[in-house]
Amino acid sequence: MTAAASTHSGFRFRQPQTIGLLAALLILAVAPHLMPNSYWLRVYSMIGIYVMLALGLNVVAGFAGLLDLAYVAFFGIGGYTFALLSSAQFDIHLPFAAALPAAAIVTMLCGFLLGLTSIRLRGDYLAIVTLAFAQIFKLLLLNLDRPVNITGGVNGIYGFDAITIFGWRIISPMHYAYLIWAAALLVIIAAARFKSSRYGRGWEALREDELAAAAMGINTTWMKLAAFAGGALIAGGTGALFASFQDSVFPNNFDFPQLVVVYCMVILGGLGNIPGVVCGAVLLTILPEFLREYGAYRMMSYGLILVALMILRPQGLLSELPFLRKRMARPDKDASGRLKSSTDLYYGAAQTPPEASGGHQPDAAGTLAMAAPVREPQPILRLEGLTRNFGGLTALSNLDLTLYEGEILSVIGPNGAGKTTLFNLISGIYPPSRGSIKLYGDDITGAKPYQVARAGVARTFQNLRLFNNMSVLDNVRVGCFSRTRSGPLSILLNLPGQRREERETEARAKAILGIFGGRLTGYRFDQPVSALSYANRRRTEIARALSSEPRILLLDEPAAGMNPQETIEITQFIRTLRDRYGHTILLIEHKLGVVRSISDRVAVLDYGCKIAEGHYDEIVNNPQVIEAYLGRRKS
Amino acid sequence: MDFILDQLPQQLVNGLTLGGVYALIAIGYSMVYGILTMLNFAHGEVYMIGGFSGWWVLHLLSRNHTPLINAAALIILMIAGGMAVSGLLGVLVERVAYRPLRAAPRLNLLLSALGVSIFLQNLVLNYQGAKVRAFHVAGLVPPSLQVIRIGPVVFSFMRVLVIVVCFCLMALLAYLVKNTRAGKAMRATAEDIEAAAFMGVDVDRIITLVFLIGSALGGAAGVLVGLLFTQVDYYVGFQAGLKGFTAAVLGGIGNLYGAMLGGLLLGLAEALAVTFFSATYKDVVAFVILIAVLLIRPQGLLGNREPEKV
Amino acid sequence: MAATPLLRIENVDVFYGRIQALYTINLEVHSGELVCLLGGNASGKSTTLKTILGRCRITAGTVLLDGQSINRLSTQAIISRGVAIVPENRRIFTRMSVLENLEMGAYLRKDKPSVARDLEWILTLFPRLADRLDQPGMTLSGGEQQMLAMGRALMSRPRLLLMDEPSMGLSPLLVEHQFDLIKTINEQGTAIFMVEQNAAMALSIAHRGYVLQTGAIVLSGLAADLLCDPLMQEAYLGGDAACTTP
Repeated sequence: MTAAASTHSGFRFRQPQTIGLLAALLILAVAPHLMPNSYWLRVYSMIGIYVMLALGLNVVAGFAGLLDLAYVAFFGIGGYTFALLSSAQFDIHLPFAAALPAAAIVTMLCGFLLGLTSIRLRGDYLAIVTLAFAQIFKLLLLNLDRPVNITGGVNGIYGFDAITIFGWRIISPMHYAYLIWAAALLVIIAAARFKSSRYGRGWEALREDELAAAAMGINTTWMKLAAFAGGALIAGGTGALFASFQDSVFPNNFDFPQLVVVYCMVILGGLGNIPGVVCGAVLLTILPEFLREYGAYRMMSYGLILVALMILRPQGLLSELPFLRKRMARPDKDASGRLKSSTDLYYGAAQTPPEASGGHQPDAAGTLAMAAPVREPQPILRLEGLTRNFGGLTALSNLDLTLYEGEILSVIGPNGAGKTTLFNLISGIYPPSRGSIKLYGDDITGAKPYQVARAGVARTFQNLRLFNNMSVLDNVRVGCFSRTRSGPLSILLNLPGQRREERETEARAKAILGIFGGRLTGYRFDQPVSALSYANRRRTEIARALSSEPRILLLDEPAAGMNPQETIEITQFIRTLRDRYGHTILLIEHKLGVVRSISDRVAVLDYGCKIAEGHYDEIVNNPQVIEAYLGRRKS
Repeated sequence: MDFILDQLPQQLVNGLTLGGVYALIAIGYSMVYGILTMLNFAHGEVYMIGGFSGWWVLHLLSRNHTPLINAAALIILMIAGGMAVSGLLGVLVERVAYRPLRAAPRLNLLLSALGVSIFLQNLVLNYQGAKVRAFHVAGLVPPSLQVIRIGPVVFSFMRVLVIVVCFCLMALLAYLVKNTRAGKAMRATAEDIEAAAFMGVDVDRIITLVFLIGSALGGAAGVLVGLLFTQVDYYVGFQAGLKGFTAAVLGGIGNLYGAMLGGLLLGLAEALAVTFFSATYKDVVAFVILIAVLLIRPQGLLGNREPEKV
Repeated sequence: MAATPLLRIENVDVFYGRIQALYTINLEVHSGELVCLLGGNASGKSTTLKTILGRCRITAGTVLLDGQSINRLSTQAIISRGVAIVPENRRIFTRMSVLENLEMGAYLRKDKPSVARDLEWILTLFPRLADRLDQPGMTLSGGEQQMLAMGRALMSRPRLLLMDEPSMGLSPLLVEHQFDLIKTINEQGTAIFMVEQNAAMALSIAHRGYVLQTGAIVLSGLAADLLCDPLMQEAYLGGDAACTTP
């Protein structure tokens, strides 16, 4: 609910959000009194606990796609830390207002530390290492009661101080019910805020395609750590609340079965889908109560549910709804019911198609124009002696190339000549074996992809690397990631700075997409890119590259797979990028017609070496070039 | 100190025994990883069910803890039974829970494997109970061979049996993989599935075969552990699975000889830990090794780092 | 020439998901012929080979081997009917020995004695392989790996040999040697369908050729005619290139 509404953040959409909030408050105020007896009141509170746990896991596994099997240990660390700070165990008696945050922060730090392992490890390995950590944690819980009794061993710790908040004493189950659900509501709001922020988009991009995310300027290492830390923070705080609620902590409160349940909740609801996960938590806490007699089969069922969901409906049972709503969003229609394109919005239907004249849009021009008065062209990218070996194979050999401001330089050559290697070296995907890369005089040789992106190099990929399950608008907004700076605190508190950045990001993304006429605007904004045609996907990828305010664009076969008409359009478009907006472009292209019509200069690679450089007409008559392409005759 | 040094040969033998078992389990992980690049979470449970199967064979063919048939034959039947049940279970799991997800994102496959693991563990818990099952092996040991002494070291019969069976099975596997047509097909498929298909290899059948063999070896390990430690319960799979996985990673996952080496090394490391530290924390040894290997040298001892292609 | 072509692709459309990769492809290869399929990058050449081997989704048309449709057959079934491939970038089994690689080529064959004879024949064709019989594939040089890949494919005694860009990744000198070998193999009776980017080399040894551009065949004919067809250069270089016939 709140998540979908806040994507179009702007005050006009506040209504559904505020209504939703008020309704929730009303329900939460009344619900505890509707519980028939103290048992169900307890269940009600436990649902709140699980909602928070599930939302925390949703951050790590749902948003960021990291299979963290140690998550339940964080729940435990929070619980036990609180226990140690508020009981007779060590005779420390911190007030709740200090103990809870302390527990949460300690847990967050542990999450951060565990997250460090994710820098080196992927998928399966990460899962196993986190599982090992969880096992170690449990072992420690069980055994750290000798020689010094820290954890109470199998018997746990019990008897905590009563808590007071703002002067109210929280003692009865009813009090706890209110407290827990108040916390749950806060967590829901926080999660929703993060989801529709640059962090949420960054995580989702990371989950979809880590390489492309890095190339768009996202510091993937930091984002992974942030996900681990964020999930741990929530789990730790929830653990503290749980400990206080249960007035005890035992090792088997924080064990594998709990982990499994929380995972099922998150997967059932749909990884990353907040309303879904909340419903999943509610469902899987209540359902076992009604199926008490089958309690023995509960874990078995969870196992089966996991397998069945993965095979039949991996996106979860409830996650389809938000996108469903978006896809059904009505396209912009004019008075006569005809589909409006954004060019119509500015020029009326009689105008020539925007691509031919360069997509003149007042907003876009302002957004995209580089500050480029006419002057002597400066070299902005210098490659010197650039070499890259892969084992015994030399993919690129001693390349010297200079890219001047405001030009389109095309790199051509037969298959395997080293063109994509060149792009990968420039964008930092791997370092060169020898040689240097300088951008505006700064040495960026060996810089990581996100650093290269932030320095002003944006690229597209030969085989398209869009974030397939994200919307068109979100894909382009990801490009703005490195140009915005709202941090977790700003997002959490929805500060004015964060709101402003979101508005600006959205406006910028929409303006850029508008360059393609009506093709990618209106209802298309919210469509998942996987629903787009191939040509539109290529356009979206270029739009995404543009939104990071690059100084150089690396376009890797932008016309590949396009039919002649589309090829002409994209060629015009690229020309416009240079002519009207002053972009500098390094282009790989096989369609030599495209190369001929827009290149200022052309460089030809063959077997990793540059064999020719100059204007297209010189190149194309060069016998060496012809031979490289058509092949040498038999002698 | 003297006491410890005295203990050393004995502990080394213990380590070797345990190492052999870990190696069998590790092989299952390595083979599956080599071909499908997936970690078969459910392998530990397959091992446990193998152990239970062995127990059932013993139970059905004994009365009052004495075997009804020849002891040697009974042992063979137990091991064969464990291998058969586990092997078939592994094939079934692959067909039902993994094959449909071959083209899906890795996370989905992992979660499915996790689900299978949870399902199998609790299936056994529900239908066999949480009680530990005892292997009454006294009747299986020939009286003259109860204790075998070589130098300062004392071997129990079972220990020798386990060592012998482990090494025989490993040798058999090595022969199979190196010299038979199916073995070559397995190696080819593990290296390059598409190229193997171009040779006419029925890739699906080879994958099934890999699961069959890997799971069967896991089942054998389950029975052997049951005979050695005289007990099995529904929870052993979890621990053994983690250890076996650690062994596989240590040796270099995907590499068969690495699995064998890793298993032996892990067994020895654990035995040494028990000697020099305390038994309580011996499980931690495995985890520490696991984390250390994954962070320092993820490709393990015998693995090759493959260059990442963009 | 035999009446029924060995391989015939008839009006075939192929899709990758929602993207069309091949448009109404028509081509044929007769017994004993050496036919090449040319075209630049992303023209659909590899897709064509994958289609023949049953690894692509055919939405229209038929692929016929010896006059029988193989549209629905598995890769294994097609291979067992006498088709072999030398894949792009060779794809030898680097961790297996040279001998084992060759044995894998004969995986589906049961006639041990003739397999042994074929092995000998191949080793005479590629003497460098005989020297390295027990060495793992990864120790071989690029050129040797290419030979191993060819030898491996020939071990199945195919009636139709498919080759995917045999010149890829080889130095110019090796390429010539390579193509000489291909010609020899063809002269000894194996029909070869070769996909290649190096048009001049390919056409100098082939009987006939087809040219693909963005998934459709734009030219076809006898190799000698294609060699100096101005449209050929247009397809590769977008026009303006002078013809370089001597």
